[in-house]
Amino acid sequence: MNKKVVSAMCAILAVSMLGMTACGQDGDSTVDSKNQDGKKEITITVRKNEWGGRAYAFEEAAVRLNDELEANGENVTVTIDFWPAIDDDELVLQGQAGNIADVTLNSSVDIGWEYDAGLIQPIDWVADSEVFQGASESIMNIMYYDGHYMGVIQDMDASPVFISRKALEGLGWSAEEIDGLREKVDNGEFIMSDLMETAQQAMEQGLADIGFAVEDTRFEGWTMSAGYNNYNLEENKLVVNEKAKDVYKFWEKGVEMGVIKESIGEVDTDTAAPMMINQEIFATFARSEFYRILADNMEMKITDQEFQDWFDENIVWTPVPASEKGGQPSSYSNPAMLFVGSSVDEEKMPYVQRYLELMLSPDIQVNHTVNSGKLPVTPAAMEEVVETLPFYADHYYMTEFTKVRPAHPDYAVLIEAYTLGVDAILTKGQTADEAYDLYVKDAKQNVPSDRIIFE
Amino acid sequence: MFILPFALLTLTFFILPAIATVWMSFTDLDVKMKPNFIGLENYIRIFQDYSLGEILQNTIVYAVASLGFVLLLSLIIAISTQYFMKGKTVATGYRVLWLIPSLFPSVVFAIFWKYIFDPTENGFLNKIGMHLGAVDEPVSWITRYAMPIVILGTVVGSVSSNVILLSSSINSIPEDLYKAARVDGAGEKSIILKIILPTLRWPLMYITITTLIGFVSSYFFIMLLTDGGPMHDSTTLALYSYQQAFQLKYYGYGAAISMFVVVIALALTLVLLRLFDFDALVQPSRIEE
Repeated sequence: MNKKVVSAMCAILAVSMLGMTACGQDGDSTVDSKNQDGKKEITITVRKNEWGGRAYAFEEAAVRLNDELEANGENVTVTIDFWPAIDDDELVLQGQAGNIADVTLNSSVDIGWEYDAGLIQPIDWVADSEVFQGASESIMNIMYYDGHYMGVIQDMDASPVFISRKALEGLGWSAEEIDGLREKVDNGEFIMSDLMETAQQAMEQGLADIGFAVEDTRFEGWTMSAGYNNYNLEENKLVVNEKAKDVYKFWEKGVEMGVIKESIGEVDTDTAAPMMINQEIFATFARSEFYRILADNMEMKITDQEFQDWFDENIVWTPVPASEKGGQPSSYSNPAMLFVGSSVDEEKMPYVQRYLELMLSPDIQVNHTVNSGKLPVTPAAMEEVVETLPFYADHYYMTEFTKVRPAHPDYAVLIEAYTLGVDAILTKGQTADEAYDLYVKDAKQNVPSDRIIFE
Repeated sequence: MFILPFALLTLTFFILPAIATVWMSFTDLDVKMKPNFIGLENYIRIFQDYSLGEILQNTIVYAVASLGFVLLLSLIIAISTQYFMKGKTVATGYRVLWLIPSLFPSVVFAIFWKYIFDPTENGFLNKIGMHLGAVDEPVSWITRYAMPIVILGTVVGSVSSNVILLSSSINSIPEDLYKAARVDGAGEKSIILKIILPTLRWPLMYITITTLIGFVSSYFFIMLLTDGGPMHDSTTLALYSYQQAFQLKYYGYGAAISMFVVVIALALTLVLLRLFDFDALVQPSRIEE
């Protein structure tokens, strides 16, 4: 009896282990087989992120790819095997188990660590891809890391400052002055200190309860505006230098003036949107997507004329103003990237390439813009947006000077150190100098010394 | 043979991960997943970490204060409902009321507290405070009082299971014992101190040890509510271990910190066993001698 039970247990264990081994091989190689029509069948595994219009994009691109193959008379059928989207931790573990999908979607900031972890591979065909012909240099640079193109940008945003038009009107600004504000910011005539003073005036006159709201205390738009560049592209190293102190001085001044409150880190964009609608906030530093969040809060769509009219009557936007007169404004983005798994071989790559290119078809991108509030990434898609979504058409020019978070593997650690300094000013009343010292101390302790430069 | 499946499960899901964690703590394992043996480097780094003192202090404050309040509240509720109001519907209702927080998933529970302490005018506390004129403008409660709020949330969420345990112990005390004590002239205070509390010694030891270990090693609720902030104000060792391993992807260092947590939990358990005189508690009763 005992022997039978032991045998049964061993059999169950063996079957389970075989099953696990088989699962581990799913993403390893190209699936080459022939289907009933005698066509060669290629399977592309895709971790399907369904946010915004992405679910439609992943599915529709597959349909179009097969239509295209058939129209070209190619004896191939592509099957997309959708896997669920997972977080970074699980991505690493799945990668260790050999489950590396052919296509995954993540942020551009994840390039560094995903490449280091062997999860993705360079795809230099991006440089010659027809979909990116005419794309701006900044968009091409977003996809470039360590001498290679590492992924295909799927969406992006710029970072307009959404300012209460009603507050400006309340301060006595004329319609002409309000409409001309963006040009002044673009020219460096109206800078950050001007915006802070205006916010302070609006608060003093009871036109807003809160001066500034920001999507996140690490908001890189302010870092860039103060002229602090925390990444050295040539050496692929993070940088800490005295310019960071200028960012902290901005925070310190904002707190002193009362335009930045200690709760600023808790008022994220979802919280800020209804407050912006109720004229409680003077200015929200967010990204293009905030336009859609505002519409959601008003239970409308960004394509609704009623919403667009409301927006024009109540909000005015500019890039993040420069910190010095005559300086260039800044803009920041955290684009989504489509990555190609390291296990995709040369035979499968052309199909993966075409699949990704088709995901960037103009109509598919526009559908994503409507559902997500993100900017399209190719000139062809932008042309389709111009007439239907003027807000996006108007601020698309910001992508030319929009910068992204460095794709360095230790950037998250550096930013953790940086935000400690911000928190020290916000919650402990520390000075910019003290915040900077804390930043340096934490970065020295936590970022590996061979990956950072202290200037 | 019957325990083989359970032994296999224990081996797979408890023992092997524990061994893996010990092994990881001696490596520089990070997102590249190419670990190198680095000896005690991670452990040395823990003691060189400038934030260790503050985080250790937070852990002690969080665990001890939470435990103190949980024990006190659990005792008060259990004695009130099982001794003073025994058999009354209101007592059962009150116990059920305290059970509600433990029925909610941590995420929902954290959202509830976030609403209570929301820093805007829409926050419950701010709304009440401004309505009553107690505050002029919205207060950023979580930023100012992160640790007390974390302790409050933890205590409210942890009391119920202990109340059940203590109530059942009180319930096991024969009514005759109370009657005999009253006949002998004992007051309520004497009954509680001389009859009820000694009876609760074993469950109190169990609650103290398991709850304290739970608080020392828990991080999820704090992560949801404050994420350890502002700065490191509400960061405990367990949360710091999680942050290092899963947010910053320094798995080796995170594993070393978690081993440090294990050592602390083990030491606390031994101290508490000694305090409660565990050996005497597990000795056979005199009747059996």
